[in-house]
Amino acid sequence: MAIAPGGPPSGTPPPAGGHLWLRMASFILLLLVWEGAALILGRSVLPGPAEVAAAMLRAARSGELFFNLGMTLYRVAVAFILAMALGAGLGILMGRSALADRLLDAWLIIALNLPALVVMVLCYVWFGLNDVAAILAVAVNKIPLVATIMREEARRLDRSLIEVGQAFRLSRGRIFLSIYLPQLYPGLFASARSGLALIWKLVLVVELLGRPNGVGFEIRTLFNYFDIAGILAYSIAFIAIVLAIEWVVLIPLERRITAWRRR
Amino acid sequence: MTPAVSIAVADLSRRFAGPPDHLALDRLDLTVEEGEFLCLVGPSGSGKTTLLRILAGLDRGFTGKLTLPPGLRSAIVFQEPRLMPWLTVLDNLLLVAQAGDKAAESRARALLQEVDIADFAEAYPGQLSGGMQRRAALARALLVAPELMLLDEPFVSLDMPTAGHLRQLVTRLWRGRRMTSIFVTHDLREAMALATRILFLTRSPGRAALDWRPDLPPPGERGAAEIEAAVTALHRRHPRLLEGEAGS
Repeated sequence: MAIAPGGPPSGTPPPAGGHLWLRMASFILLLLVWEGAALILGRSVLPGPAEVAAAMLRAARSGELFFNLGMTLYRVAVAFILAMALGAGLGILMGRSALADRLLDAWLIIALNLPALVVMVLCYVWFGLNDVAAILAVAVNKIPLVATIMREEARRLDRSLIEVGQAFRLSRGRIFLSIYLPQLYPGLFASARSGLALIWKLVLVVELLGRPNGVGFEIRTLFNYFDIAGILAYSIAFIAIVLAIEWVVLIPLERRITAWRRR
Repeated sequence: MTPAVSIAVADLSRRFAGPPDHLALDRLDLTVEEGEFLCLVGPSGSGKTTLLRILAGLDRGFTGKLTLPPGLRSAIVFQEPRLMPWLTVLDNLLLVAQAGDKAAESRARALLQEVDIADFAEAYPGQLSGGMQRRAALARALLVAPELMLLDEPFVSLDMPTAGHLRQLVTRLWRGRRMTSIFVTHDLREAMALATRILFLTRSPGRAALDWRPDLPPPGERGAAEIEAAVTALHRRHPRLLEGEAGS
């Protein structure tokens, strides 16, 4: 996204709350379609909203729901922070240094095309069936994606603004924090939002493959019993958490930081 | 008082690697006296901006000698305002303040008052007109209380009345502070209105074509007719001066 004074607002989220009733109607419609599909397909194949709610309540009462959600959330958080920090660092380096770009470009293309499943299996083989391997496998899948976005953002940095900092003899740290980084916010937010969605899906897969807890592990257990209501209950609970992070943390933060675009 | 703040370049050259190689400045000698308002005038490619960037510390690829007093506070106003679009006008000023300078905010507000945009302190640059953005860029430069003020064709893309007002503002600010100023322009009338001294540069590569002190009242007290007459007289003596050639 170009940062130009008076430029057109781009990539800004639509105003929240403006169409709340529309969102509610859409949600109710979703539940109705779901109930209708359950009626047609039969409740053993697709349980309706009521059965899923009951399954969720059961899992919540036993405490298993919160324990497994917590384990998955912890893995998502660590993998997310790791992938964002390393991916952003790598991307900025490649965007700013032609030498680094030439050296690492082939690696980046290979990393982008490594199947997630291969990385996960190899990590488990090399590092053992533990959380380090699981989290590393997820992070390694996301790092090249973050690096690719951030490399483009870093290439598009406005040199003329950085020169202002140099001409007024600001310290390197101040230039980085106050002139460099704000220009990278759009890319960081794009990476964070797409990253969260990808990472939690990958975490479920590594859990399914080789962890004794977490939402992914629980889904495999429920699959063994063909407990579709349970599978849906866990999925919905976790989707709700990810949406809450998106709405409560990421979108408000983005709105604050991009306030200048809307004036 | 002998000038304590002496800014000088000697034998200064700047070559840009090509292809084709380009010599922007060719063995230029210049001593700037304290408190003077020097306009650099020359055709495009005469190295005016290059010289200014070297003085601002943005270009270190030159050969020759550059003498700046140690610890000199200098500030620059670029051709485009170059305000951070994500910061309010006030925060744009505070960005260049010394870290931990508690009086910076009150100084910044006073400066915004002085350049007549106090009401826009909390606005973002994108909400300001081109002229107001230039005023903000001037205020930002003044926040560091510069001993050397560098201005690189700051009013070039503005309409005539707005540029005229801003020129008067620059003169007013200079007269109140007497900071050494170097102003790049290709507009002889602009130079004649502002300068105590004008250095004409030759066509690329830039050398000094004519070092000239207008025989006029101090900047700010010059009438339009006086400026016009001085421009005409200079044209008569050096018809090809703006193309970078002195002599008739």
